[in-house]
Amino acid sequence: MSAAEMPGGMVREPLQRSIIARPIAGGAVHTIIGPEPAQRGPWSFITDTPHPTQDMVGPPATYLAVAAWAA
Amino acid sequence: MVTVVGVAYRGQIPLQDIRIDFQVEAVTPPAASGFGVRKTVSLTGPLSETEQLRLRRAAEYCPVGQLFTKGALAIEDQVAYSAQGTAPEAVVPAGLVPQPLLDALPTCPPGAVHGRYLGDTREYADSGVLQQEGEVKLYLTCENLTRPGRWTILAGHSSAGWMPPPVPLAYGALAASTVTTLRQFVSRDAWPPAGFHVEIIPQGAGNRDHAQAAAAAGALNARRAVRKIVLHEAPGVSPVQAIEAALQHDPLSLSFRRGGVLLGEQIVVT
Repeated sequence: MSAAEMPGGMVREPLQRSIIARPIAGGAVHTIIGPEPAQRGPWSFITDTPHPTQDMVGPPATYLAVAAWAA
Repeated sequence: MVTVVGVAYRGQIPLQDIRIDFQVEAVTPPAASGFGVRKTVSLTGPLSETEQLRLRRAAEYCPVGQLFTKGALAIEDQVAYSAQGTAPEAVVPAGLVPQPLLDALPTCPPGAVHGRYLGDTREYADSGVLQQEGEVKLYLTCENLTRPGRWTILAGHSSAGWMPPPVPLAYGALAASTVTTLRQFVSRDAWPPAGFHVEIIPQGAGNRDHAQAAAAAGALNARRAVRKIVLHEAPGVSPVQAIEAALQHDPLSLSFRRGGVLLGEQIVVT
């Protein structure tokens, strides 16, 4: 693991991200594929984890990966 | 699926239809990554044995399958700090969000993924050459503690860009899995109050034609990507070690690194 961009550390050339994932409420995650204006997309997905009292708002992230494998 | 379709087209193999079914099972670490899959590929068409072998190899060496079974993705992890507002207003900072009892819950419940190829979404140039392999409809279902969840998504190759191609979708899953794992295994106190997000930056990604040529040849198509954990304000204490330790538990990172996810595989030809 590199901490080269931590405060006080060396700053590298910025790399262009093509995926961004953020935590949202209740244990779910919001992921955007192609978040930058010049990129193809954006495609947005919500993933979630099993919950004791609520329906899941999206599939687990592992299922999204298996879906990509199937496709 | 779209890789097999592309290989069949370029090899003039009379593949009429394809479907893929995955059964997903929880597998206890550390022997495995927390989950495993049993894959069934169903091919339809008057296929000779040689053609069946070529399509079987293409399925085995498809780009996302290589991530899971061939260690084709090298991930470089970075931790970064950004003072700029990176979280839109609709997103609640992770540090302020009440978390479910993740420790007590299975992170990968059993379920299934069914892929159905939508053959009429193929796109051809005026010359008749295949331009886009088309769309795959994906049905996902998994157990939950209330009742099973069900979702339908699309993936594939389309000039209109209605859905992501498979490899970007897999990268998106990796980013999502990373966020889930970090929430589960890093103490909330370790995060800055403004929260964090995860970015994936593919490097030297290659292209579809190269990936399909590699799949047809049964060759490894190595990829690299940077995974960056971005903190939204300067942390009081560096969380790098805690993040690094947490990532050792991430099921997708583990499966991409050491394989072992494929528990069984069969090809059915009709």
